[in-house]
Amino acid sequence: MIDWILEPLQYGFMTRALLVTIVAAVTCALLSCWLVQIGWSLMGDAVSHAVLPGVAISYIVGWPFAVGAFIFGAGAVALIGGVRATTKIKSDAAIGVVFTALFALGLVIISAVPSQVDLGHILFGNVLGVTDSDIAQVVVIGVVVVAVLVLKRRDFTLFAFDPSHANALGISTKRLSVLMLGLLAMTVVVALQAVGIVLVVAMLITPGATAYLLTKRFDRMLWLAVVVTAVASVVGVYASYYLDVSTGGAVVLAQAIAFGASYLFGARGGVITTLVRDRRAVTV
Amino acid sequence: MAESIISIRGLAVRYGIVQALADVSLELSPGRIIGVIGMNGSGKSSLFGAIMGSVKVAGGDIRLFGGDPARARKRNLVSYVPQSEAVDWDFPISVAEVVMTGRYGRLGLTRRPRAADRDAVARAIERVGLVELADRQIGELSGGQRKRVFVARGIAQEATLMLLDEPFAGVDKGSEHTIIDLLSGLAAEGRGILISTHDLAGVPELCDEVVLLKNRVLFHGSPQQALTTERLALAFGLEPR
Repeated sequence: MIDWILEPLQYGFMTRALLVTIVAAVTCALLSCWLVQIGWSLMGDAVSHAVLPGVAISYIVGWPFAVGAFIFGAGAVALIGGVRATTKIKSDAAIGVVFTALFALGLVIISAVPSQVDLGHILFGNVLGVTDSDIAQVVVIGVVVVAVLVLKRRDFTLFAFDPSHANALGISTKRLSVLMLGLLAMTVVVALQAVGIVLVVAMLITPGATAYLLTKRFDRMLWLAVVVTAVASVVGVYASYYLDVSTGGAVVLAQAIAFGASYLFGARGGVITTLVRDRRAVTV
Repeated sequence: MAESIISIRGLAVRYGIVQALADVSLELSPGRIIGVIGMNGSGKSSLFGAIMGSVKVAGGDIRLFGGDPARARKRNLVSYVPQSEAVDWDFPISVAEVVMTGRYGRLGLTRRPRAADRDAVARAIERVGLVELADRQIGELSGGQRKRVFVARGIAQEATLMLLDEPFAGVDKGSEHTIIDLLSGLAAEGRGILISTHDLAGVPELCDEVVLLKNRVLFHGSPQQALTTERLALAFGLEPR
């Protein structure tokens, strides 16, 4: 058993993959608790796709990938907000138009400029091939995001629960939403290294949704999201090693299985839990 | 005479070409409870929004505690009890945690509560009679208990202006009396209370004054004078016979 656990760790690419995946998973797990409560899941999808041109440009001109990704992630948020504020288009339509346009721009850039950029790696992740510079960016950004989330968690929870009360106290909800969207853009930058652009949205939604089914307290929800997601991510990385399958795919699948388990057995109205409780109530 | 808590002169609110409020004037003195009655679309929400600073004022003047409303909010003087539909009752938050958010304006960057804040929260919860339910998730409460959670938040906040949006909607008769007693007691200590409602439940027992609103003030006076068939017919858009 011990050998089974240690064997992959003698390869540098595996320890690096584990590190990046865990940092990404923890960062995403925390943020996702607020995203699913505020109703910003679609925003996560949008930002993750919209960073493609930024990543492409970064690789082409030799910037750290995080710089380009963040510029386009934040730009997408601003564009979506702008379209929403200045037209009567519904929110989901504004999001859809902006992120698909930016994603398409990314595809065009990559196909037009001959380079070493591997589209497959950007879209589906290449966590086994991360460089030391990638790791440094992931860890620094991840730590910053987690620190801000933990320090401002009470404000974010109030913002998610009752923004009108925040306003009544003179706490600026506009500033909080800008801060949260900035953190979202940074988190996407971290997560796309682990699982690729297409699956980032899973990392941003599944942990919060899973934890929501397990508890009726927000602080506990944060803990549960982090622990469940970290465990699922490690399981996913090991599964990808031993079964020789896509790492990003395995990690997201493991998180989805955790969601399925809490859907069936969760304390908060899990399907099986409720069934058993009702059966007991009848027999008693 | 004591300084007015709310002083509104000639307030106008517009959304595009729709005039939500025109020439609304209103005074709320300490210790008084005013009920704003009108149907949906009568401008009640706009009036509350303007006082809370969430709706843009197109004309006129709002003063809270004799000064700038934003400053009054910063000083934690304004509390708001939302209508039930505006609250996510499935949100993973407990009664005590909601009441604690009333203290946030007094707390530092991370809103970490101190002993004095916990005391204030405990006292507020006791005042509204929810001690046994303090650790419940808010969705596990009855309609009347839910309202009292948010009133407790205003008490913990030490607000002297309380705005309540439809405080009696979804509340049974017994709880209605509990809430009326609670609000009367809070007003008697010098707070000013403004409630909005589209039905008349609790109004005669609770309110000192009634404002009939239909995008402008149709009538402002005692409940007995306001709640006549003709005046109500006007407020609710029926033609008087």
